[in-house]
Amino acid sequence: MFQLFVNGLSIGAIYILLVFGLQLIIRTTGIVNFAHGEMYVFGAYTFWFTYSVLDLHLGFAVILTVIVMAIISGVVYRAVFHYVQARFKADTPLSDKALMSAMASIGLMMVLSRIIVLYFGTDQKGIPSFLPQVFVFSGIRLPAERLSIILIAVLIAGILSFFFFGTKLGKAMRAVSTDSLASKLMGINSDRIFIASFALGSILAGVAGLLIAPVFALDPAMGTEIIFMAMLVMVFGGINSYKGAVYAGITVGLAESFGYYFIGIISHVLLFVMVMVFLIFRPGGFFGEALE
Amino acid sequence: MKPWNNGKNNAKNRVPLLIFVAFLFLLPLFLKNPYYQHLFIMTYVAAGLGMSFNMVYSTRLITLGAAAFYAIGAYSSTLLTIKLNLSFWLALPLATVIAGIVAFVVGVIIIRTGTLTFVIMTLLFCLIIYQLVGSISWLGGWGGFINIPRPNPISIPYIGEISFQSRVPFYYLGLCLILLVALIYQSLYSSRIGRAWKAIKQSERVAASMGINVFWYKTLCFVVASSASGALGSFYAHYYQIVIPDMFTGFISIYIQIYSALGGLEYYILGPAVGAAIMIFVPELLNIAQDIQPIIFGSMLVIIIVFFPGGIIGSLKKLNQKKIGKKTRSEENVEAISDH
Repeated sequence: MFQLFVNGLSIGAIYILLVFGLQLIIRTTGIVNFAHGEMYVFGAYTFWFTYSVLDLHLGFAVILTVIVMAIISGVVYRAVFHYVQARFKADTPLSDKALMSAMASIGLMMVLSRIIVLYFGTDQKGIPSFLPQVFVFSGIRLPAERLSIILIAVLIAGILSFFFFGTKLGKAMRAVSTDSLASKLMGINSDRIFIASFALGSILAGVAGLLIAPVFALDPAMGTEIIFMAMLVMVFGGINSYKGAVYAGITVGLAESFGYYFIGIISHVLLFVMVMVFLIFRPGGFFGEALE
Repeated sequence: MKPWNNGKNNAKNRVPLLIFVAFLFLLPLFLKNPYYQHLFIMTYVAAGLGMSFNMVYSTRLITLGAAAFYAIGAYSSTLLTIKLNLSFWLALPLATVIAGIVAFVVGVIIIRTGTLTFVIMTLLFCLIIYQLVGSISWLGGWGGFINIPRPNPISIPYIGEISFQSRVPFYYLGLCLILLVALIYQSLYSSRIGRAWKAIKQSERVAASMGINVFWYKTLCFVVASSASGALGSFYAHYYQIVIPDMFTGFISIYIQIYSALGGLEYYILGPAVGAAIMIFVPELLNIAQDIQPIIFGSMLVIIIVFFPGGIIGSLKKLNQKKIGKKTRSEENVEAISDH
């Protein structure tokens, strides 16, 4: 039972990382990125390629994955979302941006997921676990890699909060997300901030993929599956609240873990109904407010 | 920009359209190949779904749940005919009503939550319906239903009895259905309701301050569009005679979105019809491999949304106006507003 709890927490941690990336991109650039799940797959596959195929050292593989994610996301942003962004004015309401970028990013999602299938094939890939230890406390088995996911997610959340409140780039991102026109007047290069926050969000997704890679087998469809759950978590927690994402991620992760164990695949339907009922009472999610 | 209310030259515009509709009615007389007839029927269904998408877009919302209501229509009609032995002619309106009721319940909850959440939740709803019909064996399971009964023969005065054994009656049924949907939509757009939607699209706050109940008008729009999707789903189930969950994945919703975006999101009736015709016929005739279809369609969607937001019709009109060298008055007004 405690194992289910740890599994749920680790899945929740993955959701939280993904939702952080999504929220960062939405709040700063106004882009709803349905292709975020494919970034997660890219992260997982890059890690598999560097660690398992090229047989590089673990730390080196992780650093290489982060660099590759930054490059891919930069290219994607420059190729597509830069032009979407160019159509917006500084005072375009978020809903207009969301509609247009949602349509564009759905097209992008189709393209990227197909490229992954064509390039890596549809067969599942496995990565040898780098933390095969299992802790046993009085009959409860705790796989070390599940625990490491939770620890690393907490660590990343700490680094992010330092980044947002302690560094100049992070502060600039917060300024742009609050009011991009005013921050432009203050001398912040908003284009650079847009691309930086898109890259940061995608790196978070890539790290989530990297963390999940040794636990589950990799297959190209995992991006589309997880992005919908991440979107559900984002709606549940409130789109403009990082705090909500944490609570919602943990709730949904635990609910999924226990629900799948007890009632099978239908638990997803119940989870959706639960969120719908929740939205009746709080349209904006846990901590968010309903956006226009 | 203004598919309704262009009052004076309306009658003149209708003549080519009427000729085209008459052509479509006469088409099966010389198009005997059942494969092409099948493609035409598919086009009618796709165009109807695209029109529903555009209807929801006319209040500045995007539904990615069109496939869900399509599925609800198909499944409820199938269940009504198989489990309750109802006739198709009763099951079609009932399926429409059921899809409308589900859309009302879902819409009331998620329209309040804002545009962004609406987009996400409709897509999730689509996936949930897919999983629901797949995992409950009473609803057919992953194998779905096969041998769905064809519509009962009906007799029409002057034409005689029609039995739905070949493709041709289905062709006419589909054509009549899509014309009915287009007619209802057009009359809604040119009524008080349509003007309210137009106001909401321009600015929600201004519309609200004019006394338009934004929430209920959006809900109405969603319900009407979804029940039309349900009706098309019911027709498609009895035409194809098979329903399986894989026919109603989230990808179908994305394809519906491509039909609309390709034709033109601002052209509520004609846009999806053009887009659907292109999207159904071109890949079949060019024989594009299934493997790379998503890449082509996906990049097409991105290019249209980013560079040609008017779609095909919008771009053609723009080109035409550039040739003449002047702008229509409404376009100037729109530019003035958006500059402001």
